[in-house]
Amino acid sequence: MSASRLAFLVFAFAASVHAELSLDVPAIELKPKPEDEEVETTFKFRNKGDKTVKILGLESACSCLSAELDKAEYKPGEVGTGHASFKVSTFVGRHEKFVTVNTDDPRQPDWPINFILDVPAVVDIKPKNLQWSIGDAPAAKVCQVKFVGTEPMKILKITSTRENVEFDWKEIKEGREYLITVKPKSTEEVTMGALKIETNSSIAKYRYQLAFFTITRKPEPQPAAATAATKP
Amino acid sequence: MLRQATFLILLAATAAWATREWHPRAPALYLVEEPLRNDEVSMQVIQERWQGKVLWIDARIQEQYDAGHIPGAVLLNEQHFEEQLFGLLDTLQTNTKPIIVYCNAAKCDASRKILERLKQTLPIENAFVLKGGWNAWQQVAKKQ
Repeated sequence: MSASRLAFLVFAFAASVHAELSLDVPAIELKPKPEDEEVETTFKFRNKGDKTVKILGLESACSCLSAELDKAEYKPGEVGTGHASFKVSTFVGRHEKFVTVNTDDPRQPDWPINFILDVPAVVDIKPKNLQWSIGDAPAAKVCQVKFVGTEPMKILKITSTRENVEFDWKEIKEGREYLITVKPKSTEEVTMGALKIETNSSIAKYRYQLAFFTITRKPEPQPAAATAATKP
Repeated sequence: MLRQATFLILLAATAAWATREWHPRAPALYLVEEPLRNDEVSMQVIQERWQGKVLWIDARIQEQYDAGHIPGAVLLNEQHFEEQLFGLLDTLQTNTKPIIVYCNAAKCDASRKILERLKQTLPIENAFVLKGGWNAWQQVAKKQ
């Protein structure tokens, strides 16, 4: 065989051989219970390529999520096992996080493993921040607190971090819904404060909830020239 | 012989060109910096625009913060957001400096998540994410 043909064949073969790490699902779902501090899972993946792949490292996009793989090398067709751990802390709702696996394969140097974390809500506070601007009329505003978990909860006590607001609360539906009314005494000064809402939750991390209130300067109006320039 | 040599050289050049075009880790032929996103600032911008006078917010976990953080930085992470924000209300109320949120490095998205959540919770303006995170600050600090 001529040298050119041999070189061509070697080149063609080298170009086609590659590894391909892959999960059987688009993302790994984690569904902790509200009272969980940490949730763990194992997952399977496969090297679908025709080349052995070496794992060089793993990087997580969030300190809350860690993962490790059972081996440092996976042969073609080999199934690997991974183990992931997620610190629930005070996460609520649906979050997408990923861990990146660094490999020695130039066609797949970074393989992202996607995780979907779905933490059920227990408390819903709307709005989370009651807002006034400096100079506004110090009118009362209302914040709704709903306990949406499996168990009902009651508000036991509310305290404010600032003295220049008055507040009151009433039960709308026992164990489920409350309204908190907040009224600033004055809107002359910048204020950032919170209402600390104490509940009778059996889960320690839900025993205290926060609703915020702020009095801030109104955003400055744009100059007329800048406004004209932005008009179509 | 000459034809074969020419063919091999052309083959090698083609492979090199293909690698340059498609290899995900091909080095740049010239130095290119990825443009800053709208909510991002670099260490250079922080020095030039504000002379380094900013309020630093560390979005990493407690253990990383305890191991080392930008001097004066306050901790506000996803794990204990509300509890930590509660403790920062006095600081934020009197703050007039730009707020810069950082996490570990370029691939960490915690700083952006914290910035978004901070803006959703309180009427915060003039707040950004540090491009390159803690690693970027350390590189600048080493040179000084």
